[in-house]
Amino acid sequence: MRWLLRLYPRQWRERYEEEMLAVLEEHQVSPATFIDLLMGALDANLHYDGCLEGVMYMVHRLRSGMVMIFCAFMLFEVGWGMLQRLNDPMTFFQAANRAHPVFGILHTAILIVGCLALVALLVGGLPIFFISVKRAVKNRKRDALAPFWVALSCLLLFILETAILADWHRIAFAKHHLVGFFLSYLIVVGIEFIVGTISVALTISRTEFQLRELKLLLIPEIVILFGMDVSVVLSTVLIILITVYAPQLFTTQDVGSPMFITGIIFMALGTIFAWMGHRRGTIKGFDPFTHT
Amino acid sequence: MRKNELGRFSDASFLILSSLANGPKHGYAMMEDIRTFSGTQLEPGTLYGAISRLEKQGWIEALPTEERRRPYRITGAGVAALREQVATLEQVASVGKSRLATMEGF
Repeated sequence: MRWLLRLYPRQWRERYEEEMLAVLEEHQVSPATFIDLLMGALDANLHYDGCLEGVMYMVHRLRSGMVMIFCAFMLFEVGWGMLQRLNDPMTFFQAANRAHPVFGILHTAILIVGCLALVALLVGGLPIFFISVKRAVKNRKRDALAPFWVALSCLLLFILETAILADWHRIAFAKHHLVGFFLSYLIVVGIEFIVGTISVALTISRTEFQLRELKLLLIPEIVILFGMDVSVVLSTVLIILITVYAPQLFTTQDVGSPMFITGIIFMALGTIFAWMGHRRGTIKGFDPFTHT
Repeated sequence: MRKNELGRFSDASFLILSSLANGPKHGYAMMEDIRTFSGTQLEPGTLYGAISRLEKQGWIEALPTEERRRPYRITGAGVAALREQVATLEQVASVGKSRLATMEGF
């Protein structure tokens, strides 16, 4: 009967072929089944247009929106992390802060809202990721499990490399080639960060979710977007104030103005992409809470 | 409600919604359940034609696949649609009964 199913449109087969074959294996096939499948194939070719509306469509939209927000937040976090280096070394920052206490207030506020967004991501995202992995293991979905193992490897490698870095003064190579050692660490961690982010995104995007599971993310999503928006605004204000009142910080701190500007750009781009993801997961006239 | 969009699958859709009203089921379990409670043997082509329309309407929802079988469950909107269909059928049955009684009275 498999050949008969080939008469159905490709989109339809991607969605229903496997389960229909499972039904046909249990069903007593008769000439009526044959005619019924032919009629069904004709109807599907005339009327089936994929999941253009309804719960499945909403689930697809929410899931891809969620993946976009996750990737956008990772980009944002890189920029946010760069700006956190602003108070290093403390001496110069504190001196500027004594003259302009608003620097310290803004810096702390950026730290708090950034952390708030991160906590929201973990609270909303970890259960979703757990569901993804559990479902992939249960159904032996190799296409979802493979990126999970890659992501896990990246995390373990990152922990190992950071442990080595913490002990750098005992490593002869690091003592003699300090810059090279730190640069190598940054490059390797950067690659792992990108690969890990893509792998997590692939694991989630290859999982079949139910609408009620994805609804768990709706409130954390609002908190994440709020945190990102506020961080970008406050960071921009802070950089403008430093440029006007304490430009010496751009030369005295560990990171110079190019890094701060890059940080702001990453944060802004991340926030824009996150809003695009949010828009993707929102369908006019469809309420995910009531399914109507 | 967009019952007219169900086309020739409206009867099958009603049977599927009724079958799912007492819990999620996969395709073959639905066919067996429908055969038991209504005596109708749905064929796979009709079953999946109706399932795709019901999903599109948002009246049923697919659950994660379990060893190639994908269970479905009725949604809140599906329950409302089923309730409306049952009410219509009850009204039709009631009119039919009373007219039969009148006819038999003659």
